[in-house]
Order: sequence, then C-alpha cells, then structure tokens
Amino acid sequence: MKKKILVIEDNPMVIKSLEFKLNKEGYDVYLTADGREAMEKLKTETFDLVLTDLMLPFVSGSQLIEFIKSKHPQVPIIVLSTATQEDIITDAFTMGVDDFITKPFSPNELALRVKRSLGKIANNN
Amino acid sequence: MIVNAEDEPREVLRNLMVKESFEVFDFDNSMTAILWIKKNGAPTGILIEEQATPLDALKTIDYLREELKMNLPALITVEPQSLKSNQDLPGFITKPFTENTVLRVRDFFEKSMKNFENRPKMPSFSLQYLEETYEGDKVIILESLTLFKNSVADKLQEIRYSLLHNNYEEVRNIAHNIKPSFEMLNNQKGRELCHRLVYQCEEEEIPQIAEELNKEFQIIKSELNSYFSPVTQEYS
Repeated sequence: MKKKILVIEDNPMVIKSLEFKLNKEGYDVYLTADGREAMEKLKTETFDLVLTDLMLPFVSGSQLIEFIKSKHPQVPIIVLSTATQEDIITDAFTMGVDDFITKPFSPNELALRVKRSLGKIANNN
Repeated sequence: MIVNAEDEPREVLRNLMVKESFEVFDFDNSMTAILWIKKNGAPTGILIEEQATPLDALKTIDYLREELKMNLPALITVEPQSLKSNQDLPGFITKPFTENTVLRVRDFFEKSMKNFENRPKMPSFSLQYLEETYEGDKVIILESLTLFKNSVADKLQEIRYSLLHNNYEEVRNIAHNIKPSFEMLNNQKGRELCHRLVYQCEEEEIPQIAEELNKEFQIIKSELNSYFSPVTQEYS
C-alpha cells in the first residue's frame, strides 16, 4: 500500500516540484496551502509523513507542529525551510520535528530524507 | 567620488577633476561616502585612499559589492612609500595628485565603462534546476515556467496592495513565499531582493526594494516570453 504524505506549502512552484518527485517515488501526495486547512485534514485523516513549511497563512509553524505532535505523535515531520531560518529550525527540532530540508530542495535529497524518516517509523513499529 | 582623510590633497584632487569637467563628491571618511551612495545611488567611479577609515579601501569596495550590490570602478590612491608593486597595478594611483592623475583616472573609468558595456549579456534565469527536478520533461518545465509567470505576478500585485496600506509585515511574508520561485529559476538577483525584504531591510527601504524586485521580474518575464515561442512550437 502506498504511503500517504501530507504537504503543507503555499508556493505553487514548490508544490508542483514536490508533487512530481514524491509521486515518482511512489507516494500518495495530499496538498494543502495553509495551516488551518492542514489541521482540518489531520483531524479526519491519517498520514505516514508530513512535509511542511513553517511560515504559512493563518497558523504559525509552531502551532502546527504542536497540533500534529498532539494528534499524531508517531507521524514524522520534515520541515521545508529557506536558508537562514536557523532559529526557527532549532525551535522546530525542540518541538519534535524529525528533519528539515531547504527550498528549493535537491530532488534526490528529498527522496532520501523522506525514505529515511519513513524508515525510522517502520523500525520503531 | 573621492575619499581622502587629509583636506589638502583631497582639495587638490577635487580641483583637478572639476577642471576636467568631472562632477565630484568628496568625503574625508569611507562611512560617510557609503551613506551618501546608499542615499543617492552609485557614482561613475570611486577614488579612495588605501588607508581610509573606518573601512579601508578594500573593505569599502567589498562592502559596496557585497552589501549594496554595486560593482563600481574603483581606484585606490596610495602613498609614494607604499609597495612599489601596488603602484604599477591598474587600480592603484600614487600620490601626490597631479594633472597626470586625472588623465589616468579618466582612462581607467572609460575602460571600466567599456568593459561593462561590452560584457556578455547573461540570461537572467537558467533552467538547470527545473531540468534536474523534472528529469528534462519539457512539458512540465514549461508548465512550471507558466506557473512562475502567473503566480509571481499575482504575488507582486499583492505586494503593491500591501504597500498601499503600509502593511510591511505582509510584504515580508509575500517575499518569503516567492523567494523559492526565483531560486528555482536560478535568478540570483530576485533571490537576494526577496531575502533582503524578509530579513535584512528597514521598513523605509521596503518600497524601493519591492520596486527593484518587480523590475527584475519584468526582465525575467520578457526573456521567458522569447523562450516560450520556440518551445511551444516544438511541442504543439
């Protein structure tokens, strides 16, 4: 069964590239453009991994991570950041984020990091 | 522009240059000169003494290049006792200032201008990243370029609206959003302008940087338009 990945990102070019690469790697990709919509989705659906930006409309990055960690503590989170967001990334790790990747990402690096994060969960189970 | 701490040689050089129809702005320290450039824009060139303070000549040139993104023709003026090897290099002029100094300055600036005008014109974007990401799939690359044109145009419109309402925080958020779009086209200038808007500039600088960003987008858009026609024909 295909793994389900929720992508929370509001740049259409980044979304397109993520969707392309993740589909190619055999994942089911679900897209949301803001944190509020993502929270709604996470209330009713389960995902194997969340890929998220931290500067999103309506909901702050930390609120979103807190929400995911409270509802789905086992779901790995990879943060999509831009360079020079060191403080934000450090905070995100403190809150339990598993990994981060800078935009625009290297396609192979993305595939590798997603696989690694999903692998961690499989090992834990 | 002249930067020289001592009044007398500065005045001599100023008078010589004015006599040869240069418009001269002179300063006794490098920081005042930088602030003037920041406020008034780039002069044709800069003559700065090697031991200028608080930033010496090389540091000032580096600051102009890295922080203000200005690659000005620069001549460094050195004392006669300075290293002989420096004095003979293009870009260095030995004191005291004479009429010959002005001839060398004119020659140097003219050559620099010519080099600037004759430099090969590089395209403002590259498809390298998109080609790698989409494994060379030209149809998806084309879709992505269309997405760039449309989505960034919308966001720049939102920036203009936010500026009208002095909503600078929103301008920063939008710049954060579109920064990866410029990066994906390997457009360094757009990336840097977005970066400055998000992290580095004061509120009063935002309208000017936003305007520069808009101009850069128009340049990319126009180059993309010429790129689009042959590719569209190829795939129609």
